[in-house]
Amino acid sequence: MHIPDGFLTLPVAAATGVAAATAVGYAARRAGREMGESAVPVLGVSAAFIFAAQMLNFPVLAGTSGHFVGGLLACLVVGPWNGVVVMTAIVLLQALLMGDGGLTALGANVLNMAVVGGLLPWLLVRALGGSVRHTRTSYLAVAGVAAWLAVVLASATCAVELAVSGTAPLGAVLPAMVLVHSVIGIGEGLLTVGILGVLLSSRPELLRGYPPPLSLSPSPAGFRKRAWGVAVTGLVVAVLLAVFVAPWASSQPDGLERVAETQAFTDRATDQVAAQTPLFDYQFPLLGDTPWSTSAAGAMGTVVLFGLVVLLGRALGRRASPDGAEIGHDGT
Amino acid sequence: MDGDRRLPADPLDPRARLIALLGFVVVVVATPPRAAWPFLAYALVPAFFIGYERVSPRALARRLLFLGPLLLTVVGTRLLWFLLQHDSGQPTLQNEVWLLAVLGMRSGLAVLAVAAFMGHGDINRLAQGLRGLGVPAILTGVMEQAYRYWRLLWRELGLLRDAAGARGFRPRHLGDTVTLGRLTGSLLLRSLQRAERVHHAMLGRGFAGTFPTSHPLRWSRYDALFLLPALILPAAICAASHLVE
Repeated sequence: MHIPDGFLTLPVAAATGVAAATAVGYAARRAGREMGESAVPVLGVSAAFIFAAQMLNFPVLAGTSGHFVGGLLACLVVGPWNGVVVMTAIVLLQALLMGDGGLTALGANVLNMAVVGGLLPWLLVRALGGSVRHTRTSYLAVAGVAAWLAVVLASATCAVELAVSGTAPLGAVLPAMVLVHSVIGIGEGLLTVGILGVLLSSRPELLRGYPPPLSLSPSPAGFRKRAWGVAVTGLVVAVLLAVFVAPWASSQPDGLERVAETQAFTDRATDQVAAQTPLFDYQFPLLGDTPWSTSAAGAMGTVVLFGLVVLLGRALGRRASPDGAEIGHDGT
Repeated sequence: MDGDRRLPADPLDPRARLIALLGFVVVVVATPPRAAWPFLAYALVPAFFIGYERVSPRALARRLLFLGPLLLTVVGTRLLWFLLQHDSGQPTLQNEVWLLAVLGMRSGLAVLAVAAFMGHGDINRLAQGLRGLGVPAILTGVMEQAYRYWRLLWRELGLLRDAAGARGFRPRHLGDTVTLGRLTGSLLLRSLQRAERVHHAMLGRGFAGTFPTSHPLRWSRYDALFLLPALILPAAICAASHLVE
């Protein structure tokens, strides 16, 4: 997944570079503040471990193999900001001394492997790990799924970067990358579960943020915070699905359209009202009839729907409790 | 990568190496894909430094191999897309092959440049150079430590796999990955314990968050002699490629 030099145009390289530099700059400040002078040796040896583990190939399908990425594992073991620093150090080392991954693509590679492949799935583990009833099995299951998602999201981001640069057509490279990495992601998930299982059995205190904060009778503030955590994580996943998956949905007629065709009442359908809506036929008005237009329409629709559901929920909550007390404070 | 060897380029300031590398790569990526001659001309620059620093062909080949997976993915997807779109008046196969050749030349030249300018790079000097260019000290410190310990951990992982192999474990399918994960997990456990010991040892030697360096960064005439051909020649080739249609 390391993008070499020449695969990204300079504007894409600059944009991803600025985004990665901002994330890494913030992470470096937080890492130094949280761990003090012990940060360098602990993070250094952890980085060496991830670096060595990245060279570990595991069997995938029909004689092919994948390799470990470890972005999520780094965030779970040393903490999210330290994890970003660890992954950035690895990517930098690989680019400058091994020639694996380009220098102009450094920002994109850091963004894909440290931020999208580490920080984002860590947020998912944090949100879900604290929301489901906490057991060792549920923690490992959530971590395994998040590790799979980390690889798939990172590969999708990589495909989008290549497509925006004109290196490969999005319609071909996105499905190819996501399909291959969906299988490789299973290996990443299983490896992560295996590694975390050993840590949980022997020294669970080494896992930062474990167990995730959860009490069986949560406080009102804690309940609200976790509920928002789940909602925002769900929103992020839904927007990502809308952006990356929606444009490739089947163009075949759905069940109702098929029945309408066979029963010959398709022509009764009119688009006169629907055509006046801003996102008619899942197209964003300014972007024309392109996959990007569908992505933008999908993302906008998801966010608007999320906002409407939140407003509706608040309104219903107030009506059910006219004295202003909110429902669910006792967690029931 | 043999940091101990005294090589002719040792007096160079590490910042000069990094600036030369970044400058060269940016110029190569910015060159329009109109003709092959600028890319062939660029190759002379890293070729000279590779010869001068005596980088082994094996090390070069190993680095070029890293390009394989993504290059193959891009070649496969572009050619597949070309076949699917061919009837609708899309670019010719010749254009596709030329664009893929440009991708290969650009990425190959960048890998050669890493070998040429960082060839026998000393990790401590490299980290010092990065700090000199504004990279956060915690990041370069982690990089140095990672470089020091990764070979050791890789060897230990090999020993663990050998021991599991001796007990009959051969990973054949995806389901075996959990067992592989447990093996790796025991190495992580040892690594974290090692990190604690390393930290205590470093504190004992007076470590306070930064690594001391014996050679302070200082620009010299060697840097100018190095940067002139490493930067001006590619810039001139790039300018000529823009002018010559």
